[in-house]
Amino acid sequence: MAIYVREAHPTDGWRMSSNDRVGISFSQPTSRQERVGVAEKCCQSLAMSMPLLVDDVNDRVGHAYSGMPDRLYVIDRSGRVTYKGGRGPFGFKPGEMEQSLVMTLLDQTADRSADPATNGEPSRSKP
Amino acid sequence: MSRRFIPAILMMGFLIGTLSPALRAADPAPLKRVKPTEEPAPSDSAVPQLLESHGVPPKIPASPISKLRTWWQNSMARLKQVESVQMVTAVLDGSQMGPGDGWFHPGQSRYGWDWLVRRYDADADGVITADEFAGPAELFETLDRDRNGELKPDDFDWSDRAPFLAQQSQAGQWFSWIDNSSNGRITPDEWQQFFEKLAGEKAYVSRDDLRLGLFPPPPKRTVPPRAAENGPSPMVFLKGLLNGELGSLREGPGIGQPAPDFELETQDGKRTMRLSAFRGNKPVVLVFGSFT
Repeated sequence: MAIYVREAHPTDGWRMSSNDRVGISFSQPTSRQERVGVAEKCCQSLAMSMPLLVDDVNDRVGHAYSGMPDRLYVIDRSGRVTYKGGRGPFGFKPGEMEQSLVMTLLDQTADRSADPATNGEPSRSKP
Repeated sequence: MSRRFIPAILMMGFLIGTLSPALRAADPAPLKRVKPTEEPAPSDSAVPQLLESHGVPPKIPASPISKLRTWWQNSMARLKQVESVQMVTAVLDGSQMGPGDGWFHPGQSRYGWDWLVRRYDADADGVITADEFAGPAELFETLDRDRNGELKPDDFDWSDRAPFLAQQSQAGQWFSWIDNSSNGRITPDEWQQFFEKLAGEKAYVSRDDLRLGLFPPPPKRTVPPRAAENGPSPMVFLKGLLNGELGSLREGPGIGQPAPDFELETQDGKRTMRLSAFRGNKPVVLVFGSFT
């Protein structure tokens, strides 16, 4: 799922002419409603298919994950982090994330008793 | 409150915030429990006296100062690894925040090539073929980055020196030239516009047209560049760092740590999703970002 956080390049911050050229010019939203409005435009422009969750204006979830300006995580079925991407923009590598996601899936279906990576968690069968 | 005080107060808060975990990590016992002086036990005095009589200086008992020094050194070492500290250092050194600067570190994973080899390289030849791979074919294809039918260490090299990354970077640059609407999709119209740009007045694109279109000459500079063209000032970076636009003063969970739970609403207000609802079901990918 996508989590929409603080604008990285608002017009009242580190403004980017490359954004202005395509009409993506927004000041930093100060209310949740304002942020929801910008997030909706983003969702439509990029034709997003994954759920887009909007973070509080104080970026409570964003700060908990140090996710700004952009970042990728993979979390396994036991709720633990198996992949933590480098910070974006340079660390934002979807291909790298996908490989870790594949290995997370492979790890789940393998024999858990032989795998130290499970840390002794009880095995869970697929629903 | 004057706006000038806000950065100073935030910096103090940030320093206290980053030092406290370092304090806790380096010395789990609260300082108030340390005895003010440490007397050697009576039974220990015989040995030092014996050593001293042979010209060997007795062992100096650990004083509070040496313990304090050790704690301080551990804290400073720990502090150097705190991402936000690295970022402030880089910005104040005049960094323009390129790859590898400050807190731009590589990604981390519980898994990698070594893990795959332990699992699937049956003949231990350093290569995992499709036959050796016991999982579904589509998962193999995702791992096989260069699509050559076998898994090798370079399929997992995401550092900037990997040829794949250079290809991706060049292709990404061309993509941004063609994707006029900047929405991540090149439409037939946008492709046509690029064609017309390469062809110019003609109705076709020649070899030279393509070469010049993909590798344009650098623009001539007739006037010295203004200061604004050299990139944002350190103050812009620091402000962005402190208000969370360019990063966070917090680190986020590490590999193997529990992912903080949360519950948020979608942008259309139609759904509320909680991360922990996926426990025991399937893994979750979190994508953090914004429009700008």
